[in-house]
Amino acid sequence: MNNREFIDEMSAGLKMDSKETQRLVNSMVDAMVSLFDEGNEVCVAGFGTFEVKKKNERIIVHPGTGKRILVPPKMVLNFKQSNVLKSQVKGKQSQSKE
Amino acid sequence: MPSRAVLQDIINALAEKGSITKTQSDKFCRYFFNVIREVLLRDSYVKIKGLGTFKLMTVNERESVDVNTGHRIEISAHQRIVFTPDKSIASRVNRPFENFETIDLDGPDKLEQDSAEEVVAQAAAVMNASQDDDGEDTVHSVFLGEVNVGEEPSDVTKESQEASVVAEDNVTDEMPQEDIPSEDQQETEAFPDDVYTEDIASRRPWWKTVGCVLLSMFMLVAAYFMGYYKLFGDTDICGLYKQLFVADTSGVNAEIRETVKTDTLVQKNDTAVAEIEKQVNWKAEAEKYEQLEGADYLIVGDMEIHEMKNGENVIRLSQKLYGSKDMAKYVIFHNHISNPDLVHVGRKIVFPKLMKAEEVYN
Repeated sequence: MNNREFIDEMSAGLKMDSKETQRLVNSMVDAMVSLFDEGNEVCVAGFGTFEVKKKNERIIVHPGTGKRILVPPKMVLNFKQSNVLKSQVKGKQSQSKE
Repeated sequence: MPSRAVLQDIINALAEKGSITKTQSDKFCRYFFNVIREVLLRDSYVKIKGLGTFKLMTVNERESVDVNTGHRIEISAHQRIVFTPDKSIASRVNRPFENFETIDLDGPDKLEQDSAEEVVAQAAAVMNASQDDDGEDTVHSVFLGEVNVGEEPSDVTKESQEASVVAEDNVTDEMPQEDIPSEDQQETEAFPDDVYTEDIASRRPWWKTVGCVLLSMFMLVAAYFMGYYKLFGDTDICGLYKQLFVADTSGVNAEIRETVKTDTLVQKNDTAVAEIEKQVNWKAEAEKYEQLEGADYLIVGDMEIHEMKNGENVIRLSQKLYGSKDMAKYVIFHNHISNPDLVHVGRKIVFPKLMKAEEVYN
């Protein structure tokens, strides 16, 4: 399901304008980012935890050229599924319809 | 500041940012995550602009070991959620480190590498062109100088050095009939090459050095093959030696004289110079010695006296001294060796000075 379908579903369920829905989704993402900026991890009960982790700088060797490349440190957004969601997903049969 | 924010924090922040009531915000946020969960379970793929993609991935069954009991257990195939953050959110999260860039630790950046390839290509082009025509050396050096004007001024001198190396190669190219033993060429060429490479290595990055090494290797190989094929082609080795012995300056190429720098040859050259001063009559000299019948060369004097050591043999020594195994027969004849395969250690062998018969009588 892509973004448009997702927004449509949201707006249908909330009986809202899809534009308004998109706006709220965007501001919600903004709110989450500002929470991350403050150094928080965002835990949504029954869904999972969003967390920003620091990846250390590292040296990799380019497999093609054999050159050593220093990759800088970076901050990465991680998602960890909650146990509730995990068990729900686990029990679900893998879809073969697609 | 709590290190762990919960859904309520999002709801509060959203109510503030989206200018809606907290009740609306609460409803919206809960519904948002519910929809994600439902859609994920239904379609196993949700993409949300600005946040990222949630995807269900199938994990294959695998064997593991129970941590507590140590028994082997099988983890059955299941599905798990994979979250890939959107590019926009990833860059926003990574803002503290955004001005870091990947660094190539092994030296020059891409631009310099390109120019290195260019230089190597140019060198190759010059090598090819110079084999066709050696009159264009100056043109080449000018051409190289122009191309590298953007770099340091010292490059021009370097390029002219390169051009001179090329020019020397030309000289060797230009004398197919003179025929020089390949070692001699290699030695003389090695000298300027060494200076060249060392010079570059001291102040240029590695790729220049690599270019130079490739260039010199190519030249050495070329020189080797030139010498090799001429030995089996129209052989005129003794023509060269004749020139060296008699020091007939009119016939001798100045470059060749410079080129031939092995110890033995220098020695010969010296004796040759000494003898031209004495104005030796070769014919008279030749008559003093017993000559091999029907041979192309005449023995006109003693060149070197050698005491045989363990492991040496006449044929190899003749190869070393005259540049050809064919000359061994004169040595054998001159020293009255009955069995060339059996020469005792310590025996003194006189290596005769040889001249072409025609030269002696003309």
